[in-house]
Amino acid sequence: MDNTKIGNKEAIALLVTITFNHIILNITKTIIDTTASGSLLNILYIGLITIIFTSIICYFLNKFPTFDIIDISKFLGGNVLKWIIGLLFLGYFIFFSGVLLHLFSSCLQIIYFSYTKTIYIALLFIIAATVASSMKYNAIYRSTLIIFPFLIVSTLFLLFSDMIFFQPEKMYPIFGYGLFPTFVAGICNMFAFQALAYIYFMPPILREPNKVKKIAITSIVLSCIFLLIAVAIILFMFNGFVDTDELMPLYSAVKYIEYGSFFQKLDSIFVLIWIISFISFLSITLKFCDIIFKKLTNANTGIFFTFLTAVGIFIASIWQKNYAISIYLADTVYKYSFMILVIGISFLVLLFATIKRKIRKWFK
Amino acid sequence: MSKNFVSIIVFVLLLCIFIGAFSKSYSSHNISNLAYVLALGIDVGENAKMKISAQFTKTAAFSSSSGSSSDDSENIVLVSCEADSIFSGINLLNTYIGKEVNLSHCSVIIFSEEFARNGISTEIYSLVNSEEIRPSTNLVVSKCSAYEYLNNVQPNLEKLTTKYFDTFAITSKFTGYISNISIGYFYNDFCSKSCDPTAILGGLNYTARSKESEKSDENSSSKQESSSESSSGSDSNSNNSNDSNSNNSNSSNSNSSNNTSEQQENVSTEPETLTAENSSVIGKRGNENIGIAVFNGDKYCGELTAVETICHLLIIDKLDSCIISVDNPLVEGKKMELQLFPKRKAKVIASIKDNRLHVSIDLNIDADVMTLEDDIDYSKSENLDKISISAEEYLKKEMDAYLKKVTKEYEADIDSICARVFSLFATISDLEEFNLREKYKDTEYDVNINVNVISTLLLTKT
Repeated sequence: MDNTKIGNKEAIALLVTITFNHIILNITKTIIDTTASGSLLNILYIGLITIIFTSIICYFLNKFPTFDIIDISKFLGGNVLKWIIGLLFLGYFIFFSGVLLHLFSSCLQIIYFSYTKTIYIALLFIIAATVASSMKYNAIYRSTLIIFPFLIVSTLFLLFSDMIFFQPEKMYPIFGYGLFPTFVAGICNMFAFQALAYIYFMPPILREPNKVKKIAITSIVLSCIFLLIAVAIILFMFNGFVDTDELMPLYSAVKYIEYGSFFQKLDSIFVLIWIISFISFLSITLKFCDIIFKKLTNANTGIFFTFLTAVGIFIASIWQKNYAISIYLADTVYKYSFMILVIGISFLVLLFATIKRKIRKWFK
Repeated sequence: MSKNFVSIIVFVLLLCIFIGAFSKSYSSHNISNLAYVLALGIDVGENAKMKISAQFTKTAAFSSSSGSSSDDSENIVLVSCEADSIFSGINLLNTYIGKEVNLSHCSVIIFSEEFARNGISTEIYSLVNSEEIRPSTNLVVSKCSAYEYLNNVQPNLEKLTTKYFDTFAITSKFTGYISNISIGYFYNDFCSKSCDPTAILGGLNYTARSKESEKSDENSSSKQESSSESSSGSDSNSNNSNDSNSNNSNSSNSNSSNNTSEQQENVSTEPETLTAENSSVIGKRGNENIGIAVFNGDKYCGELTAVETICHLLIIDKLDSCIISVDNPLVEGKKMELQLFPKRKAKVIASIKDNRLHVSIDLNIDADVMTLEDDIDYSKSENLDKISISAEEYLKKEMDAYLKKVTKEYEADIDSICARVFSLFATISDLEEFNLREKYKDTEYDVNINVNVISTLLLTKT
């Protein structure tokens, strides 16, 4: 049995965990802010587009079995393009993981550790993720698979527990701010599916690289369902949400869960699951950055790069002066960076590499 | 060997850092450093914007040794102060108590009617913004001052006051005289453009009101006495002073008798006029909750009586059962009590016709007859039908009056009527152009109530 590769279920759990962490932190808020009551329609729409987009990139990736986006860029433009794409993805993963780490640490500080500085909470996460990521035999992918059922159960539990507070009328007017914000400007909400950025690096680590399409589509569909549930919970519960923003909207929804006078304050259980899930996300990011570093430098030692990435994420998480900057980065900069790098540049690299490969075949 | 040594050093170093960093948060949340507020009251202040009252229970009250304590009111501590905001007031209380005041076990927040009339948006935002406040914390608007309300909270059947506050949810389900309204519900409705918030209406019961009026009488008579003493001091004629004293005592007696009669006039026994602070309840616990406080935006605009509260709960499907009193169609001039159970969810359909809101309300209710008269065969279908018709007429009349009051008088959409036509608009701008809230006050209702009297419980014939 090959312990360096991951199975289909592990891969799906990995990709969905990435999207799930974004759903907890900032995605739902951004989607509702931009499309208001049209959010559910917008998610279905962008979910469909993302599935089509994923099918296309998987079609391209299948042309280069066991190649990831770094290998494909090398094939297309040599070492220069390889370094450019590699550094862009490194920057993207490190910087925005740092931003999310800052957001999550700030939330935890507000909720539980009011007298502890954010820097220490972030440091604790970074150390936990670094240790988990440097474990042998892909321990992090397996632990993600173990956590995954908890994410599903907790989300469904949240949905059913909060159902008594739902007012489905709040999903109207169905087009929210209008057709243009929902269907044209709303395309940018594709950044909710952050798993797309990681799909580009999946084929070499898969035990069955030819099944990348099945894995990717399944994970996108599951992510879409998660996103739909999360947005529905917030939209049906807080109809004033458009006017009043909350730090972690899902946490606000969790606070409403009560079963009699005995089962109260269940938010602690959710926060525990989210903490473990966020550590998984950071570990996965560290692992993928490690892969990129290794591909760029052709080096074999992993721990140094993992440490370097961890330091990078930590620095990215502590430099932000206040919460407003973090929100701006997580909502606006993250969105456009995703659209440019993951949807734009990476897709073009895949497209041109496939064309190049075809041309080469013809000439042969 | 050296690698392991470095790992141990790094581990110990990190451990020390985290112990230092997190211990402060832990020690601040240590139970011995916290004072848990059970209920928070907010009144208009005399020297500052607000008067904040916080009710605590002594920690000894929770121990088993205090289980035999006969008077649990001894365990209740009520502290108040004046400040310009809730949290500056709590900070002042922190200083006085010597422990950190914690709101995570706060069961009720009480605003006095006077305070609520000026708007409570700032206070609601501040409270919801606090991590400690739970969304399930009940919200009460008190017709007396919040301090008086809290001062009269004494557990009757329960050992702890928190247990009494927990009964709010249960009471609302089977009496229909109050609604279990929490700060979470209030906040959501308040933030919403489509509906208006409500709160539980509270006040003092007959016993507490009598005590309060006695106190005020004593105060006024003592004031009068002191004024007469001062006047007698300046006047050498003792006869005059005696006369004036007798006059004063007479006047104070007449005052107290006037107050009692006024109070009796204010007492209501009919659910159609019954609200908090006009009931005839006599009991050790001095506070009571009957009716609903209606808000227009963040401002308190009026109250709903017990029957109006039942109507509201029937429309929003939050009533399990309730008892109403209707004209007895079988015995002229007599009333009979029916226990109502909503058969299925209220069917509320809103539409727009001729630029006006039209709302159709369909209620299907099952009923049991509670009061039986002599020599009547209740097993006859025609008798049960007559009772059904009488109940339908009564409920229709009350429902029309309730809808008129809420729509025309208060202009407050507490039944989320406007939200029911949102589906008719494609975009938010279309909705805003229509100006739904402005048109709400001209809403036309079509109420259809179907009451089906099922049984007379155990007896079928008398």
